Formats: sequence, C-alpha cells, structure tokens
Amino acid sequence: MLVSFNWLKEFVEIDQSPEEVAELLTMGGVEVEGVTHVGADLDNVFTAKIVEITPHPASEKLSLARLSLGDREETVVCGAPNIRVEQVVPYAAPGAVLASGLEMEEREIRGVRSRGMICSEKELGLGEDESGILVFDGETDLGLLLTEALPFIDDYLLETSITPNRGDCLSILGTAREVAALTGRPWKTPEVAAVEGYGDIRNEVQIEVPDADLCPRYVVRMVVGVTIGPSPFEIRLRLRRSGVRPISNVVDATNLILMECGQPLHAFDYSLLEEQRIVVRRSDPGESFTTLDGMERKLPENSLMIRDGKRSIGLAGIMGGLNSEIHEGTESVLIESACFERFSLRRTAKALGMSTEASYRFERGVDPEGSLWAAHRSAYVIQKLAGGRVLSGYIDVYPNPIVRPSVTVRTSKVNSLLGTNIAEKEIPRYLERLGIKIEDKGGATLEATPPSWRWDLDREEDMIEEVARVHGFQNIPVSTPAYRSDPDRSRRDRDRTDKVARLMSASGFTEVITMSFVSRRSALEFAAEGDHAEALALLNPLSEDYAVMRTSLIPGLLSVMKRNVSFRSENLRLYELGKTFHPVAGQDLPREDLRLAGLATGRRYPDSWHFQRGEVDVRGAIEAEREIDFYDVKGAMENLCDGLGVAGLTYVPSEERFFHRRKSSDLLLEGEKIGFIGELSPEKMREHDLSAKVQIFEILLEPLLIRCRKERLFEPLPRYPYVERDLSIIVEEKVSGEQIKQLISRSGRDIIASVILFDLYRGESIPEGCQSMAFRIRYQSENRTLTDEEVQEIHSRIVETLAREVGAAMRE
Amino acid sequence: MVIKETMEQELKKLKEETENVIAGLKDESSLAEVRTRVLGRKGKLTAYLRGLKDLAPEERSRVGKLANTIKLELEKEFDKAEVAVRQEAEKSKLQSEFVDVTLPGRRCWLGRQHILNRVARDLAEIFRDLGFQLAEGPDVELDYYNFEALNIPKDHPARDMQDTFYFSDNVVLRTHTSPVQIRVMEKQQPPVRVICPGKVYRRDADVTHSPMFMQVEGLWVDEGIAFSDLKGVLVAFVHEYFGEEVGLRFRPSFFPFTEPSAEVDIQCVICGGAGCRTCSFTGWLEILGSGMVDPELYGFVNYDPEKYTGFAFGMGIERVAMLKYGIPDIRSFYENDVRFLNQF
Repeated sequence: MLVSFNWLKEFVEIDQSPEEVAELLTMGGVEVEGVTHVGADLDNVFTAKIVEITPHPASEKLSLARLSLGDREETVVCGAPNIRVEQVVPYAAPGAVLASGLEMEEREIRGVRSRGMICSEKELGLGEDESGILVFDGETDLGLLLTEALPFIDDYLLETSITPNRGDCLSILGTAREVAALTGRPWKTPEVAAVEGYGDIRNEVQIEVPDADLCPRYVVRMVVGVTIGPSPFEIRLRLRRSGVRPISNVVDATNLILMECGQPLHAFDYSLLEEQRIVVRRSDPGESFTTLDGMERKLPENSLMIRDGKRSIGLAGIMGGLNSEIHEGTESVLIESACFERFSLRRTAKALGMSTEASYRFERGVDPEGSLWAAHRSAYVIQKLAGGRVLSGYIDVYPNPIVRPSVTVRTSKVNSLLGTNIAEKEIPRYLERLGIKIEDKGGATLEATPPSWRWDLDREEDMIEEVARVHGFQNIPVSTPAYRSDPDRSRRDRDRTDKVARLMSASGFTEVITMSFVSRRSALEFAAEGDHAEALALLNPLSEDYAVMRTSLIPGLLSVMKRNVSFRSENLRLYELGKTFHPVAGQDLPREDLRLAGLATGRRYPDSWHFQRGEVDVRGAIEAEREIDFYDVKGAMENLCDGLGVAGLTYVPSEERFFHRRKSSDLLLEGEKIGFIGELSPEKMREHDLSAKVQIFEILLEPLLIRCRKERLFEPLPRYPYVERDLSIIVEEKVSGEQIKQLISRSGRDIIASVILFDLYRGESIPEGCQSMAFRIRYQSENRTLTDEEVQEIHSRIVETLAREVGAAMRE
Repeated sequence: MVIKETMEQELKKLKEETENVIAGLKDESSLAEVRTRVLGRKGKLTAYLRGLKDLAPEERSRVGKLANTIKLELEKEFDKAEVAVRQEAEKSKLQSEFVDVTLPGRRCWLGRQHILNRVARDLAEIFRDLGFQLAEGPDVELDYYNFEALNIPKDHPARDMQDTFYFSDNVVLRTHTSPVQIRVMEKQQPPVRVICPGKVYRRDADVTHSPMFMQVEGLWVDEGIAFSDLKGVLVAFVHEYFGEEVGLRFRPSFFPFTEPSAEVDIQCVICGGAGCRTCSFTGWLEILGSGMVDPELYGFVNYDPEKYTGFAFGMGIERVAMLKYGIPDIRSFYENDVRFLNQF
C-alpha cells in the first residue's frame, strides 16, 4: 500500500523523518519497501491567475494568456481548451523542468514570444490528466512556488507491504495506529461533522439482511441533492498517490475513506433502485450479474448479493453493479458501509477471478466497529465535495455485535517463549499501546482483549508476538540452545548421492538442473519399453512446455544440450541427478524415483596444441575417431559402479526405439532392467535437428545405492610375479569380446589374473564380417612362481578352446 | 732379450696408442668398442697377458707386472673418458631438449557439480555442525501437508502468498519445504532437529522468479526452546556462511505456521551496508523467513504445546547463491549454460 506521509501526519503526531518512520515501521513488522519523495522537483513553477485571454494572431487553436503572479505579470501562449479568465493555474517559468524532462525556456510560438507555459497535471507529474490545464482553488495565493502555495504537493510516499494477517494496516489510520504504538504517541481519527436535518432516512429506504451469517453488519446513510463533478485537485492528487484513479467527487469520497480507514464503501444512485429497499442475500442459482466494469459474470453458488428488492445491484464487498452506478446525473446517494464474512467473500472473489481494493480488505478482515464511523464520515465528505444535504439518521443492521474474547497471557510464558526477561509491569504497557484492553488477574497473569480491528489476536502466542514487536526484536537476546548430540545417520543417502555426483564429475560430466515439468510431447519420449508410462498432468500449468511431470531426465538434458549447442558450446558431457514422477493407481501421490541421466556429444578430449586431427592422441594410440562414442559413456558408467562398489551391472543390446539399434545397451542388475545407454537413433536426431552424434544414458539410482558397498575388506596383494602373454585372433564379428574373455578365463583354471582386450580392428586385410582382437592375458598364481612350461600349456589350451568354440584363427 | 725388450716396448706402445685413441673418442659406444678391443677377452692387452706364460719366470714377473699396471691404468683411462663423454653427451642432450613451460598441459574434461546443489550442500553442512539432521519429503505433496497442517486453511488469504500448481483438489506441487516439518513431526516425538533441502514450485515466472526453485528448511523442537535460540542459531549460520563481520536483523513478519514470525535480513554483502542496487539502497538483504512454531501445528502432530516449543526457518537457495557469488539473474541457474556452470 502507498502511504502518504502528509496524510499520515493528520492521524498521528510524528517527530521523525519519513525515512525514520519507515525504519520504525519495518522493524515493527509493517515492512516499508521504499520511500519516495514526490512533488519536490517543481522549481520555477508558480501559482498564477489568468487575468486576460486574447486570441493568438497566427493560430485559431492557440490563445495568449496574461497571468498575474501577484506583484508581476507574464504572458504565455496556451493551447488548452479549458482556459478561462480568473482560473488559478500552475505557471512553469523558464528554467522549470517538466515531468517529461523538458526544460522550459523563453521561446517564440508562431511569432509570439512566450515565457514558459501553463501546465496540465500530467506535465507536472501530478496526475494523468492531459486534456487541459490544471486549475486550482480560486483562493490559492498567487506568485508563490507551487510547493509553497500548496504544501500538500510536496510529500513522501511509503510503500508498505502488508502481511495477510494485518488487514488492519491497509489504511492510513491503520498505519498511524502502528506508528503510534511504536512511538508511544496518541493517534486520532479525522473530523466527522455532517450537517444533517433534512427528512429521515428511515422513510426513504428499508434494509433487510436475511443472510446475516455472511453480513454481520450493514450500515447506510443517504445524501440528497448532490452535484456530480470532479473532486478538487488535492483530493485527486491524494487518491492518485494512493494508486486510485479519481472518478467523480462522490466515488472519490468513498475511495478516500477506504484508503483513510480501510472500510470499503459503496455508493448507489438511489433513484435507480426499483424498490426502496436493500436486501442482502445469497445469489439465485445460475444467476448472472453485470458489475460496474461492464462485465457480465456468472455467479458462483452462495455469492452474497446486494439487491433492491427486485434485482441484484451489487456483488457484496467486491464490486457494485452497472445498474445502480453513480453517474453524471446522480442526485441522491445511498452509502453502504458494511462488514461481510471474509472467507465466503474470498471464495466468491476467487471463483470470479476478481480482486478489488474492497475485496482485498474484506478478505483480510475489516473493523466491524469502524463501519458506522465510516458511514458518518462518508456522508460528511460527500457533502463537502458534492454539496447536497445529509438525511437525518442512519440505518445500522447489526443483530449480533461481534464480541472479541479475552486471552490469558502469562508473564512466565512471554519470557520463556521469547527467551527474554521482560519485567512484569512492562507487558501490559506494551499491549495497551496497541489498543489491547488489559485486566490484571494477579499471579503474573493478564486478561487481554484485542481491539475490534485486530482479527489476528486470539491466542496467547499472538499476544506474545505483540509484546515482542513493541519490545523490539532487536532487544531479544541471542542464545544457543542446548542439546544432547546423537550420531547422525540421516546423511547416508545424501552422502551416497554426493558420491555419485563426485564420480560423474571425475568422468568429466557437468551437472545440470532442469525443470521437473516438461511438455506433454516430450514427457514419454524416453520412457523405457514396456513401462506403460504415464505422466502426471498439472491442472494449471504455466505453459504447454511445463504441462506434465517428467518421467525421464533425458528430455531436459536434450534441451539443455540444444541450448548450449546454439551458443556454440558443442563438446558436452552433462548429467542430472533428480526425481521422476510416476502415477500410481489408487494413490494420491505419485511414485518419485531418483534417477541419474547423462548426455555426451562432441569431442572426446579438449582441443590442445599437442595433437592435430588424425594424429597421435594423449594415450599414444593412433586415433581414428575423436568423437565421443558409446564406450566413453560406458566408461563413465563403469567408473560410477566401481566407485560405488557395485558389481554385476551387465550390458545387453537394447531394443529401445529411440536408440541406434546396434549401438545401445540395456543396463541390467541382477536380471532386472534398471536403465539404458546408447547412441540416439538417426530418426531421433532428425526429429530434434541434431547434427552431432549424441550418447545418452539413464539409470535408476536406488538399486545402485542400496547395493553400494559400505565396508570393503582388504585383499592380500599377489606375492608371486606374473607372466603376460598376448593372444591375437580373427573371429566373426558376432562373437563378442565378453564371450571370448569368459572362454579364456574358464580355460585358464585359477592362474589367470586378468584378460584385457587391447586391440580391436575391422577392415583392410581382415576378411569381411570378421574382426581382429588382441588380448593380453596375465598369468599369476597365489602360491608359486609360474614356470614357462606351465604357462605355455595353459596358453595353448586357450588357443585350442577358442578355435573350437568360436572358430578363432590365430594371427601371427 | 729381443723378445723381452720388444714386449715391454710393445706394451708401452699399446698403452700410448690406446691413450691417443681414447683421447680422440667422443661417444660411449666407440669407447666401449675400443675397450673391448684392448682389454676384452680377446683384446690385445689380454693377449699379452696370456702370452706371459711362455716367458721365463723372472721376465714373466717383470713384464707381467708392467702389463698389469698398464691394464689398470688403461681401465682408469677408459672409465675417466667414459664419464667425460657421458657428461658431455648429457650436456648437449640437455641443451637440445626443452619444454615450453608456458604451454597448457594435457587435460581431460573436468566435470562440476551444479552451483545450486553445491550451495545446498554447504548450507546443510553448516546446519549439520549446529546439530541438525537431514530430512526429505516428496515434491508432489498433499494439500494437507503443504497447507492444512501448516495452519493455512482453504479460503485463507495466506494462500495468496504462494501461487500453487495443482494436480487435483488435494494434490499440489509443494510450494515450500515446510511440509517436511509436518512429516518429520508425525513420525517422531521431540527432540526434533532437522534440515530439509529440496525443490519447491510456484506458479510464477519472470525476471526474479523461477517456477521451480530450491529451499532449505530448518526445524528445532524441544523443551525450553525460545526465540532467542532461533536468533542464536541463525546468527551462527550467517556468520559461518557469509562472514563474521556480516550483521543481521530480525523483523516481525507473518507466516501461518510460526508465531511470533520474523524475517531475517543480513547486511548487504555487496556494499557492506552502505547501500547499492542489490539491496535497493537499504543496506539490508532479506534472506530468511523464520519464527517460533505455531502451536496450531502441534495439534496436527500430537505434540503437547505446553511442554514443547520450537523454531523453524526457511530460505531460498538461489537467493543465497546469488548473494554469495554475485549472480544477478535467477534464470541463469536453470538455463544450464555450461559457460555459466563451469565458472563455479
């Protein structure tokens, strides 16, 4: 809310500067987000009276205005349509700077010299009106700086941010009460002195409130014989600076009081009522209603309506109706000052998607005791601004006055909850500053009754918070809680996922975090075959791109990749560790799986000076293919399993449709598929408009983490030397490396320590459909040094086995 | 006699010749070759030594002595020459070889953890040291845990504080990590000391909001816990993470699940409190929401509000990361530009 400092000072005495008040309020719980000095930059703008208007010799649209500044005169060219003799207007002399930044100077306009100009409110930054010049009250002193003649122009605006519990602070009065409580000064309410004495309202209108459950209080007053017109400049400026658009004197008066004391009011044109009654009751089923913004709205069930006996004329507490709106010809005004039940009103406003200054305040609780005062005040202000006569009396339907129960407050509880040592006699003093009534019950116990405007105080804790606010949070000491420490077993899972992150980093993968929601289209794009995947859809997504919960991390990674490639970051190794969401039949909440997914594309090694394309790479081998391939990503997966101490992850060719059929693998753990790894299929690449090959993997993390080895047992180091023999064979391509490794190991009895494939070649000099493989076999025994003969015997047997089992031919 | 003289002369001559040859040789292999030729098994000097047995005993001893002396001397010469030649060779080799120490080394791609996860971990570590244990909860949450049990009934304006994503009337994307508080308290009686990091979601996307972001939530419930303890723990945290010199202030605020509630500001880490754009020239930055657990919550989890009190706090991890690392735009975290990610 925007709080005018000038206005605030009408309600409470203030010795502090606006900044100091802002600080005080902020530290007291009414956060001031900013303080703006307004209207101060109007140097060289003076008040002046138009004493003569003559036509411009060269233009029909322009005229020459002779201005009196009291002791001197100036003549300016003016083009405004509303210019009249005797008007007091703002005159911007040479040197003045307008709101647009334009600096005034003496200049010639169509042959006539003009020293400055008469300004509109928009030109001075004092409003939005640019239809004509700004006109002040005729009594304004002449020849003075605008800010001297009209001191209210120079003001400070405090922008307060009010928490939902403090609806009472959504007004100048409410803010003033806070300032008063925090400074210990008294606050006061403004003048109410309507001149009554014409007829009796009870003869003009009847009020019936059948649905009193939704409307605890309904007060009306009436003013007749008003003249609708614009409000004076001061009122318009005040409203505008509060963020309210000025409309007409009567409407402005109701808005002014809304801002002033927080009581929303509504003014009906009395002559538009079909029957001279007001009936407050729920809407009819299926009812539609046109609000004064011209929108026809289908009313939700149980909307509270203001009716004139025949039809609805207002949507209670939210917006008036078009059919009873104040208009230029309005003469009699019926003012409503009511108190509506907040939760029901909020349901209606929410359902209609409406939030108005009135509904916002009603939802947060309006002071029921203030309704009557606001009705009187509005009659007074309308009479002041629009003339007319105030009808005698008022109607106040308040069948069950709201009584706020008192709250027991224990001094001991105050100090134990806050950790303070506030003296017993201080506590009632603090509370009384907030308008809370105190009854001392003795035994360090108080009965505290909240004021009618504080809906948020009905428990001991609420009162303790008030004590703390007035005492000052800064005056509460700082202490360290005592506790008995326990071993922390809560981190085990987190530590393991941290380990996964470290291992992925070590393999050169960079972590990304993508949105948990994805587009409907990509949601199931990477669901594993046979998963019967289904995505959880949001009822109110932000956009189509974020419509459903992800079931795989791959779509996120792909879009991150595309974004990076578009910025020419083409060598990427990315991973994400996050949840996927899977609806479970018969359950409210989905299953949340923790997954790890990765993506790699581009070059295998960073560019460097030490090898050129096609030359020797860092490992000293001739490098034919420098693009990342399946084995780079598989290597990362192996590092991961090794680091976690998980054995037994097996790789079998994958059937997933988004993969290259011969460059992909499913990941199996104890026979169960827990993920996949491979190269995106050419179709997928085309679909996503990718040019470089992309390797991806995704794996369920839970099965890995539960098998994560906690304790490792020492294995003795070999005590006898090893012998290495190489074995180079040619076999058909369909024979896998793993198959041969197993054959070798099996025929080696217990003296084979390791088998490593160190060369694989297909192509020239190798028969079509065949491949050359070279293995390095390490022979080692745990209990003796092996002899050449022993090794040779086993080695020959391996050669025979391979020839027999897979038709391997030895290479020389 | 002739033979004797001849042998002695020949030996001396061989010595002289060999010494000349050694002097002229510059590489180790030639030296080795010459050494073999002279001193090897089939070498010249060895041949003389073998021939000694044909001499008369008297001569044999004399000539033999001479031959042995020469042998020893030559061996010494060879050794010396070899050392010299080796040193010479090494010297020139060292001179011909060099590395340009300014060239970049050979590297592998270096992976990094996402800055937000790192910050989340750092924060959790600090609170771990302060006695908190870790707790987690689901992202897709029941309205009951996200709102109802946190004292945010339906139709309450407090719901306006958080724009919510819905799956159905009673299933939402959690708007804060606070539901974890309820889940933890449902499962155990006090003392409770937990820290709960996680992703949260609000239906809001602009320059300063991401529809998904991260929070970390803390909860401490026990007998005799006071507001001053909340201050103590948060002061300790801020000093540990942002530095001992950073001041902080507690302002009254409102959260439906705490009473009293406090917003916590720290002195601007950019300008040190003097006022700058980051702190909107106030010198203060809002980083934490906190307060004493509202006794209303104890009703939902069957704690005795007369026996137990506690405090809770929560903060946005992006906000903390932005302040700690001077990152101006929250969207950077989720754009995942590797040029950004690799900076941390």
